[in-house]
Amino acid sequence: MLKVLIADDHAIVRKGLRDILREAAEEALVGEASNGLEALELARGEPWDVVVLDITMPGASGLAVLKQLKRDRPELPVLMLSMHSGDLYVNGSLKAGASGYLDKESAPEELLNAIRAVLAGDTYISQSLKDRRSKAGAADD
Amino acid sequence: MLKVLIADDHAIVRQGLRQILTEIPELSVVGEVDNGQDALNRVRAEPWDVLVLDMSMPGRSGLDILKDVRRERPETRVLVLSMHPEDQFAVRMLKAGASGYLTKETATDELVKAVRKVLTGGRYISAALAEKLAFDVNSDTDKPLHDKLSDREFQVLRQLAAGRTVQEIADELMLSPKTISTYRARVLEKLELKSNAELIHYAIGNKLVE
Repeated sequence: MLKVLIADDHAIVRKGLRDILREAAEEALVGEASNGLEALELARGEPWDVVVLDITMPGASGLAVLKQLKRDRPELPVLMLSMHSGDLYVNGSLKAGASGYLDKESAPEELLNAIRAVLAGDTYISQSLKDRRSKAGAADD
Repeated sequence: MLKVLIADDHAIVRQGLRQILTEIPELSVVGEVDNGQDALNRVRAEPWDVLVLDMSMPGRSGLDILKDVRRERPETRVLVLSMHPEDQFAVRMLKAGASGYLTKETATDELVKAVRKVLTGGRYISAALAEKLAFDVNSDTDKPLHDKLSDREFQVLRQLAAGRTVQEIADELMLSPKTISTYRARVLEKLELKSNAELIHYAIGNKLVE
């Protein structure tokens, strides 16, 4: 059974994520945290397979939570979910140990692909971010 | 047959909203669009009972879309959904004709309550905002300076604070760069600021930009 911990302060986003995961894997166990501290607490209490972590939450930021999660359980894949597409956020997250970075514009199927990829030990960057990066690269040339 | 149109650029948010709205059995149609212009086109093409409108989508601002919907389809109730704190934006959106204002932190049962309320012609604000508005009635001096800005000035302030150039803002709002510069000057004057750097600092400090 797939065990996914979702940490996002927006209840509507959590509902969307939970629904997408349930549609894909009926047996999935989905945990929800609405802030960073709650995420850390829940992460310690259950052997999650993957954490989907919002980068901007009140209290402890997603990045701070990511760093602590990687200290507590270095093998646990963490997929960052964000409305920010700037390199600073993407690179900062990957450098801090995130296994992937997904923006909230991503289609539901992409979330599932990203989870599969990070569970397989790969790094996943959402397609829209890759497109934006390659466009920016082309403009710089 | 009640119809709700969801306008939000985040697919995951649309999915969440759609799922939450299944709790209202009277709803028979839930439509989805991912930008403001498509929202306007769908509203023009057919009548909707409620439009759930994200305030910050790429392209035209949520405030402009709201005003156009109110002008062209006054019978469509608009429930604004925002990631911004209520106290910064809600009053401006309600004055522009929104039937309700919700933040994305809103609990799902509260969202259902809000949609039900606006479907019956009522207006929805959270208990916390209602309390704040009640206490604000007699305290003009406590209001932030940006409350003095017109909707257009407020929009220009947010765009400048987001790092956009005068030309980019002019292109988006279909106005001349000279007009945008005039708005910029008025914003600086009303906020008692001197430069774009101060303006950005003000906007961040007052949580007016993401």
